[in-house]
Amino acid sequence: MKCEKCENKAIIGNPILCSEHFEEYILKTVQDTITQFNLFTKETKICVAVSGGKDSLALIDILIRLGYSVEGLFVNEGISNYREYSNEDLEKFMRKNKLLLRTTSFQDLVGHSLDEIMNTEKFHACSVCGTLRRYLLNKFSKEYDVIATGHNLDDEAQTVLINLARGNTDLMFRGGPKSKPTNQFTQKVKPLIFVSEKQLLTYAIIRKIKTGFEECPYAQTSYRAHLRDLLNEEESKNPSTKLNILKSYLNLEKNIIKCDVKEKELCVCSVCGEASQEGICKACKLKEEIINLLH
Amino acid sequence: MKIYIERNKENKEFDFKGSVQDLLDTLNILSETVLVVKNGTIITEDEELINDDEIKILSVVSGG
Repeated sequence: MKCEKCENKAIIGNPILCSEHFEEYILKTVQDTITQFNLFTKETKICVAVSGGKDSLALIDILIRLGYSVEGLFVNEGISNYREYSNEDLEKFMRKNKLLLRTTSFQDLVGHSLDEIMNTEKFHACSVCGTLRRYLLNKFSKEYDVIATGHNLDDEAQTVLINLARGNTDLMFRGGPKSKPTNQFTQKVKPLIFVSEKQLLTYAIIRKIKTGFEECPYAQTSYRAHLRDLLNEEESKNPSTKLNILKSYLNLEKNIIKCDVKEKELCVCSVCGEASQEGICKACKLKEEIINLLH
Repeated sequence: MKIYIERNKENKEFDFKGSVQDLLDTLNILSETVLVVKNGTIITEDEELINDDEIKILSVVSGG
């Protein structure tokens, strides 16, 4: 199969492009997303939430090539045979690109790794991970204008379906390319939401971005993983299914849903002083549960 | 043909002639979930393979 734009051999089928034109396509897609949704400018102080996986490392590589200044924030959950490998790749990548990397961990916050927490068999991994990660990312990104995450098209299409299937209409409106700006939370932006996971792996390989490409050992049990498999099956039969789901969501958000959404008012957590929807924030409640079980 | 399937960390060797898509169908793997690398180069699903090719099937899914 030949590239749509030149005589060279294509390396990817959606869109049909050679290596050189595929790189151009990815850079343009991300820049167009940043511009269309007004995510940030060249003057914005950007913190990238990095995991050491292909998505966040590709995001940094793309943003640097587009001329943005970034720094990294790494949350180590403490997952053995998984996180230590990507952590090593991440440190090398950041050193090579002369970028500042800040690190925090579940161990620092609650005194235990995710593995230790899961050994109690009292928690759901993705729920604990989501709550503690969000808390730490917000806590350590306050000096930045935005926090950019490596969420891709697959993640976003899955999230739309998860919220629909579970009737989470409140959470639905927090999707899309950026969170609403508030005084309490650093604004989150997702420059990769129009790039599929397959395209990101292709980009990472072309750019020789070294990472383990491993799946989180806890992910396979999640509802998200179930929907991911369904979506991949559908996408293989009907290309652009994921893109159509995301575009439908964005159209709904823009035209219908937005006006009816009421944001919950935020107060200050009486334990840690961070922003919270209740008197004690979710992370502090979870921390207390974990400490009670493990001490 | 020598094939390495990353997701299962599995090496396979069997006689095969056909396209990448045919190979993925034989192995019951969805094209959306993998990248196929032949002799070190990423290839598309329509590419024809011969028995001497060394193939790596890389898993697209990572992270959580």
